[in-house]
Amino acid sequence: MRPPHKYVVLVLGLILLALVILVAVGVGSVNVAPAEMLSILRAVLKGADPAQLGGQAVVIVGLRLPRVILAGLVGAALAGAGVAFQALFQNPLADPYIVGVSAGAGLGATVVIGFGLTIVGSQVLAVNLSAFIGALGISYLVYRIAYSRQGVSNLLLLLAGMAVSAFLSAVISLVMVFGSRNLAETVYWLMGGFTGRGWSELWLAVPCISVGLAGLWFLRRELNMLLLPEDDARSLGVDVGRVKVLVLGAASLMAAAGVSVGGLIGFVGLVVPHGARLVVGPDHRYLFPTSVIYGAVVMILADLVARTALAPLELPVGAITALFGAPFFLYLLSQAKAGRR
Amino acid sequence: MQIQSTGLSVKFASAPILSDLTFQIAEGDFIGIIGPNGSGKTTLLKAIAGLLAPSGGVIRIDGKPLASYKPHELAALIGVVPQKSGVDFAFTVTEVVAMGCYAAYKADPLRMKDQAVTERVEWAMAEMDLLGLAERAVTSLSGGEWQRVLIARALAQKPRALLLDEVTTHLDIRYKLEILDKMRSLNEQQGLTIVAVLHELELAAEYCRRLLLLNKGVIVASGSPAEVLTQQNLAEVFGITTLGRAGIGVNKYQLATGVTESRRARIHVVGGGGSAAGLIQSLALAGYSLSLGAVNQEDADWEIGVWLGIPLAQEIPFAPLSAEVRRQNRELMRAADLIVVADLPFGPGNLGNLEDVLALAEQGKPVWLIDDPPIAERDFTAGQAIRLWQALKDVGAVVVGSESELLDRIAEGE
Repeated sequence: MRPPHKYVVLVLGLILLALVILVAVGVGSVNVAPAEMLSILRAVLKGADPAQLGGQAVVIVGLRLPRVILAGLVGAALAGAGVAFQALFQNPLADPYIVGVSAGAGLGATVVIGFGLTIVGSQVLAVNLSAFIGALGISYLVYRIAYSRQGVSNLLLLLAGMAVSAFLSAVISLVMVFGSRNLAETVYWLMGGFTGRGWSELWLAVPCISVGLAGLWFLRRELNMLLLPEDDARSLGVDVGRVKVLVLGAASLMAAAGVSVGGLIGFVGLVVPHGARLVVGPDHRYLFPTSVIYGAVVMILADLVARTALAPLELPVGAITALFGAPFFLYLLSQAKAGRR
Repeated sequence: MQIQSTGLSVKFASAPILSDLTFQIAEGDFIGIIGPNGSGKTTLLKAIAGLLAPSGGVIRIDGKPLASYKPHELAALIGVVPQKSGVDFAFTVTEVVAMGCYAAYKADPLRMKDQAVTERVEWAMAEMDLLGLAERAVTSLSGGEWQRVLIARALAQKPRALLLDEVTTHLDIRYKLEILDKMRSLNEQQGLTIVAVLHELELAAEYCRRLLLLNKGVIVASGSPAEVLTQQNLAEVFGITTLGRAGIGVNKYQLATGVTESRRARIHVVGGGGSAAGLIQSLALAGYSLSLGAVNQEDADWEIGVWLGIPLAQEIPFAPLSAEVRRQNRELMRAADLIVVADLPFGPGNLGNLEDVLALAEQGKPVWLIDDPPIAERDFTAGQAIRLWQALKDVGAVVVGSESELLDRIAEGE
């Protein structure tokens, strides 16, 4: 019932994740050898102040480590949300980007940045909340448009997602024009990336993404059943209406948190689940953790490339993921066309 | 477990689909829901499965209203094998069948550990002969294999009742019978209640203990197949002429069906000994009004004639044709537009038939003779029948080589 290779893929992913974290924390404008890095981390964990340990410690603990963790979390969130949306909409082409959820979060963030809004003096908090509300609202809107008595229509879903995204990008443009004093910041945010992001984002991303991941893991059996026709799932005992709302809520929460701290980073939520499905199959008990772990790996690598490829220039991570993700996705599609799903 | 429907009504966009259905399904029953397309069969099944809310009335399971059950509670009682289902994702057969264990897991996650799931799934797959396909992707299965997967998935629910929605419709006859045989054995050996929407009346008659005949959302008849599949009901509901005959076993029917057309021609068939049975059925289905004679009671042709309710001249069993019966027979022949003499054997007892046909032929009544096998092989009257046959030909009776040729020529002559 459980071919061992599914576990192998998972364990391999965890090892890969650890390696990637080590490399990403160690490599950059200041290179730190793994042994040195570990001794610094050990010292910090024991309560030492990084500033006392020298420049390397400040770079690692103050800048790179939180950034790497953030990138990993966002990758996990986007891949996990992609898996969830694909199940919810019974469509392997659904990802947070395509169904307009990220665009909703983007609008929320743009409004806040563009007009310089703050909540209790914190713009970061305002961006997060606004992006979250945007993601939730837009995902619900698209879902309602595509929903009929017969269930969710894939065609309507894609069209509604496209239309809503197009509309939102128009609104985002307008907001950028009217809120032009922060234009550069907004544009940079929209391109997606982790430049200058750190602990302050992490404290916001961790709870939202943890709750979303835990919720979806808890619903892994139900995610499988959502891939069946709705009547089938109901007759098998799934409270479909409730499960759909929970999945939508958990996935939107993660997507909103991910996008609000990482900007609009595409393709991770589409390509990683797709690739994972090819290897471990569609059973979410394996697909979900596999996607989440490899989503983290991919995002950390993408961020590593973004900040080291043309250093000291930092590239937008969203451009990197699209640059590699789109051709890879086309390759997957050609595989599907050849009948190997 | 008992399913009870009281005044059940279902509407779609204010159009009534089911109106005021009251019926009961007892534990261990094998009940078939039949009716023409659009009569509400699938809707009724979905209502029983709790998949759509009635606009009126109530369905009770073991006395409790359906709506008061949680989805997983209902799934532990009722398994559904849908007509239309599919997955675009490449789950293995095992994974899909394992989804049948969801309700049990939901009810008691601690008891439904991997081991228990595996046992259930293997049992269900063995029941449906799927163990050889366990690791196959369901996206690569044939229609028949997928159908078996769906049934195994429902069996993995370990339900007390199984609802089947036209599961046999698109299958080859061999698979239809295999699946229904399996349902029968689950019903008889494990007391599983079966509620099956069936498209094929013959199969419904063969396998179901009770039938519910629906038309335009109301129950037209319910009861044993013999009570429900009457000519009158079928003509009324399906608009077809049916020929059914009680054969071996109470529920065994052979039903031949065709669309009723009204044709004016009346044909008198001279038969006996079962020689005309097929011909009578074919002519009846083609819409001709018929009469038959003269035949002995309990004879196979007589049985068909009685079943169809056509006028016939009948003699008591094994007796030679009496003058009175022959007179009745001539009356019937006179009223007909055409007399067809089937390829029956002639003996002293029924030779009178040929004499009477000759008498009418001489008066100008058209007569067609089926000469297959030739009359010489069917003459047990030392040549008298052959002489009468020749005399018929001499007065212009048409000889046709076979029954099918006759049917073709009659159709052309219309």
